[in-house]
Amino acid sequence: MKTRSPLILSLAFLVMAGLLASCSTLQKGQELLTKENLTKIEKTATVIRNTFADITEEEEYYIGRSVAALILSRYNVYNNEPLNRYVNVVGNAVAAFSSRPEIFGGYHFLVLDSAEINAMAAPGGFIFITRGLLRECKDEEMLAAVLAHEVGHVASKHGLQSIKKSRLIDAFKLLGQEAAKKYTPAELSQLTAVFEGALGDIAGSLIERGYDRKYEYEADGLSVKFGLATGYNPQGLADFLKNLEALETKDKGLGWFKTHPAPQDRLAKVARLISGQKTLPLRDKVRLARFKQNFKG
Amino acid sequence: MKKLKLPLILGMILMVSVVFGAETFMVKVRSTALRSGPQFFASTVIALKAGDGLLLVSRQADWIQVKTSAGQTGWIHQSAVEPKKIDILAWGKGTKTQASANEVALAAKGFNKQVEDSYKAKNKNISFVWVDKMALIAVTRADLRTFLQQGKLGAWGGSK
Repeated sequence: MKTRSPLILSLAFLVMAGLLASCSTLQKGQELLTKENLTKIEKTATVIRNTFADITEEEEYYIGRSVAALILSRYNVYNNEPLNRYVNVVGNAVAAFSSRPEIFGGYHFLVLDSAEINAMAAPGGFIFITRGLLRECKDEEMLAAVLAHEVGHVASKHGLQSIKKSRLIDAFKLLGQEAAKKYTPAELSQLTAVFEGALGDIAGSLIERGYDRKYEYEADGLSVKFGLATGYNPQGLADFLKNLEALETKDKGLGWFKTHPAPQDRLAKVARLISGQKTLPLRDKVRLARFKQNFKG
Repeated sequence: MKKLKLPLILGMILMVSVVFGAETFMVKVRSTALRSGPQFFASTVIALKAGDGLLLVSRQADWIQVKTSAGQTGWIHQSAVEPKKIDILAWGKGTKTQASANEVALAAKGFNKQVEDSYKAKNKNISFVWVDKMALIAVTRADLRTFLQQGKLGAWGGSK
């Protein structure tokens, strides 16, 4: 017994000293940014970052800002403050009940002055909806369903998944080498070229080609889910798709008709999701009244 | 006396292990709130910003109960944080320094404002005026609460 206690004491002391020493090398103020630590960060960044899921929240925000700017270079804004306000409140309501209520810069919505039926979600929560699409929404339930579909694209990072894998690898290689310092002009030029390429990949999906069809069906499913969680009747999405179905022959090849699966295919899947619900919220008159009030003119 | 030492030492080892085994998180969104309950519309305990460190207390569905370095306890949605090793023994004496180091690391990494500025300089025909205006449109939690309440949505719904 006499010999064990000092031994245990010494062992305990060693364990504690070791733990404390390792602790002090963890993120401790400015010490984190020593040259040695930067090399470690660089190596880690190169090894760890591989896929779209490794893009940070802040990077997603900056990618989203530029994708939004590209969309706005093709469409005019419908500068109607009360309408934009209403769309932002409905959109933020469904975002609050989504799987990703918190994103770096929050969710922002803007109405585009176009007769085309279209809605687009840039990464980082920049969401656009055309006047043409709004015209097909006859109540708040339908509007909420469309906005929840777009929030679903953001929540599941479908935009970021459009970036070509080879481009991401190039980006992470550059970023890995240059973590935690200001870029030199040459590095910045290389990085900007990769950035532009990534924006092109995303904008191409959003505006020209559309996402993979499975992402659209997934976003419809999320619209039903987020809408229900908010208290909206998911029949709003089904009704909106019925309206689209009626317009399909006229507008085929434009906007949502070009970039989304056929409305009847979407409708069939959405109807199945709705029929699986035991109870559905009522479409309250108060919501219809305020929708009409905000859509006057 | 000697009999007492063993449990005491083991206790100390356990305490240190708990501290080091503790799950810690870092706020990854620009700004958010530590809330009094696991609901979006619960009242704010304290405002949080990117880089703030948090210590896990408990979990409830998509919400986590956490403790700040200043000792406040509250709830935050899991989408606002990421798991991150944090030196919690340094809490209380250097929170500000710690946050600033994290902020530097966050700001300097990857596609950032510097890259956006470089892209803007290269593409002068692409305007960011409306992007900036759009980013400024703010819907407060109070606005949302009123909207949901009036529209019989969220916690104020129920008519099926």
